Amino acid sequence: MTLLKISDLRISYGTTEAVRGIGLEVAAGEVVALVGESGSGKSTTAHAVTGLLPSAARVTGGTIEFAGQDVTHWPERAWRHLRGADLGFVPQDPAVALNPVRRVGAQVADVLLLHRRATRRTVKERVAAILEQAGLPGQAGRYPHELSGGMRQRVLIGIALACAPKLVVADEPTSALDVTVQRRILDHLATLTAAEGTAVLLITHDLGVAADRADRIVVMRDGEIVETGPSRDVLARPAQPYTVRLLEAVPSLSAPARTAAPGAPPLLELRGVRKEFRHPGGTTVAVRDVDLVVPKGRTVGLVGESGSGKSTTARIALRLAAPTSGRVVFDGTDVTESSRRALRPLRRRFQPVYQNPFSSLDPRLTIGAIIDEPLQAFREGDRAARRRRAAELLDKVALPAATIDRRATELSGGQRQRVAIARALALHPDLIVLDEPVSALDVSVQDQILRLLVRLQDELGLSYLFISHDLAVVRQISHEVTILREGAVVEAGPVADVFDSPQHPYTKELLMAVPGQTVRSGTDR
Amino acid sequence: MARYLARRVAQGVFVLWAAFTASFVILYLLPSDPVEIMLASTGSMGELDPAAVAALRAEYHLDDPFYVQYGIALGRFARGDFGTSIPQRVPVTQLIGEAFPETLRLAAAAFALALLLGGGTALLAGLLRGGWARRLLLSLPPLLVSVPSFWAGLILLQIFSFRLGWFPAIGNQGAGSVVLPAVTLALPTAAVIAQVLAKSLLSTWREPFVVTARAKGGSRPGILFRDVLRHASLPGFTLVGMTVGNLLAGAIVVETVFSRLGVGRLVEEAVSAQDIPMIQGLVVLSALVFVVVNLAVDLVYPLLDPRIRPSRAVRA
Repeated sequence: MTLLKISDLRISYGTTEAVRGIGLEVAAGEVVALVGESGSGKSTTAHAVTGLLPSAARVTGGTIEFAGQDVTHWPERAWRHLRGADLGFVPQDPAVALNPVRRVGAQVADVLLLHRRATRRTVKERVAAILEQAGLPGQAGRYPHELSGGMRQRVLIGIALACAPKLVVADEPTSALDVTVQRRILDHLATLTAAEGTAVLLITHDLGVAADRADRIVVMRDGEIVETGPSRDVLARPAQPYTVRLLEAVPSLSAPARTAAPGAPPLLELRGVRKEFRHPGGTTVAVRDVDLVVPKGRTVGLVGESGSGKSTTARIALRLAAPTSGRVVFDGTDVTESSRRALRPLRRRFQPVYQNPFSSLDPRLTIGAIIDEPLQAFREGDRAARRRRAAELLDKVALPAATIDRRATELSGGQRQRVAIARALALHPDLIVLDEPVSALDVSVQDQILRLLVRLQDELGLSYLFISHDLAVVRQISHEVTILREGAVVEAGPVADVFDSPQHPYTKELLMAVPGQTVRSGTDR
Repeated sequence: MARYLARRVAQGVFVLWAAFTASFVILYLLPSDPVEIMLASTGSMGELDPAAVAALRAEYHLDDPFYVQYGIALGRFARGDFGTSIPQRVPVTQLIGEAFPETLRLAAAAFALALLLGGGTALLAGLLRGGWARRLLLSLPPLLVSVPSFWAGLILLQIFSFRLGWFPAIGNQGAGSVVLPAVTLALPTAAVIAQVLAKSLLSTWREPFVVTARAKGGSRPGILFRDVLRHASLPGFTLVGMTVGNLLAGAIVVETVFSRLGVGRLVEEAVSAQDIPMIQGLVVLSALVFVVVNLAVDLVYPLLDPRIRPSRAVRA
């Protein structure tokens, strides 16, 4: 039985057509993944299905039928009875999708009261049951900021499923979460929807996630559907070159690891580094006696989940923070206690690239000015020479020359991250510390950036400290890997050893959590 | 919590001391001679009796060096003694004690009214999705802010007491006498509240959690009152401290226009008579009001915003 039927749907923002005549069906109880990159129109489609299109968007053609009713041009009043009751919605970023000033229990209660699934008297009990099912027993009195990202997403799934809807639309439900949390959340969603026979429309940029979770995959590009079919068929025999490209971009755990001759001299050494933060409630140990060596010309992957201390370690490696104890040695110089002034000449030799290319570039400056900043700070040449250097750097990171006069806001996420890399390269550094450099990017863009980093390393002999929560990404770029948990190293070694014969149970858990294992088994066959 | 409170009280004491000292220095540096003003105000125009002048100068320690004068004044200030009002010959604290409750009543009424009017306007604008009604509503606050309150007061007097005779024009007698001054005082404050709250409501509507609320099937008014209002009122709440300043400054004009007894009137009189002890007393009173109100705001804020309460975070 067809539950959701989209026919020839067209949606425009002003004169730009975001969705261009797509057709799509979801049967009752079916899990359909809508896969595409940023700008493919997949989120616009998800919002149209739930009647949550922003006011700037207009449906210019086609129909959306839900449970036999044409809902395409329904007024808000009519949608209210559908949303929450028959149609659940799991939003993208759990960090901002709950009201920060209300207790989570009250936010779950809303949906039950709105659709009369509970009375004021019985609602407390129902909320408690929903939260217990979400793995959060007795947490109704909590505020969102007291819960982790994964716990918040469980609350949001609880809200979406509270009234036993026929269809749940999940818009990138785990793209803001760590890999292990992602797996648990998707398992949780799958268990609950399977039990109730709820259909799921899963929106994702990650073909690996789609492959693991969906009965059918619909691939979208530039507002059109390029390929659709049962997941098994799409993965085993992709018909379109675009799908093949997406499949290849999924970081793989079976690709050959990068190898390097041993014996490269160390460039950066962290010896027994410990970082404590004192606060009124006591002392938090963020980093516990970590040993880490980045050899010259190599990449060391530092893997851990949120709160594992990996970003603090990165800040110490860059000497933006001082360790509570332990030593930081850069190219033979102990910089643990170096003053700002003494560090300054060394600073040009180690540069950072941050996670979020949307906030790490000043939106008011042109790209040329952004890349010029470190050059200016170290008085590198005159204005004309610096501009030539900026142009050269843009060429190195494969951005068109005209980019130099544009602003960061005019660029895509991947382009911005290339700019951030160009800026980091400006002073000819030896070491680049990359803190989750690709986790804000689509899988296909991720792949391009990783390839760029490998190429630059080979050309320039750079060393990387590459920080990520995603083992598959780390495997693609690293020679060696260090796994961090709760501030301590649980396992470290060459990539091939750690990935092929993990010793620590936590490493095994991380490896299990990597999405898209079915992609590999599909393509291997 | 106790340590926090102790620190805040110490800060408050420091603010009071600073306000006292600053006003003392400024008044000391003023070129006018308080004794001459004093004698002039008691009617002994023309010839000044040198003996009387000398006696008064001695009484007020005007011939002593600055630090002695300051030391004596500070000692009195610490005991809550601000001396005697020069023209009225009555202790400053007694005058303020009589006037303050009147101003408090006026300000409280005005504040409640401002909250009602300003909050109501912003909420109504928040309920309307757009269109001319909303634009009209949102153009009211800037208009109200730019109306001088003495003019608004005179217009209200003209209509409601002289023409219609509903309320008394002047004085402090009865509840009716508070209405017109309170309205006059409330209008600019209401306008500020409306502007801040309307803007905050508008930006809160764009928060992602509103999409979640809509996805639950909530109606616009439902979402406004359940989810948006509390979140949006936070920036407005910090404004309360400043609002009190508006009300105090506004009271000077309003109490004069309506010939009401009150702190505002005292300020106006003390300044025109260069009544130095009185001015100092009033400066310190204003500082005290600010300190108390801001402390109250900071203590209540965590009740409204759970994020700044001591955290009880749990780990996944």
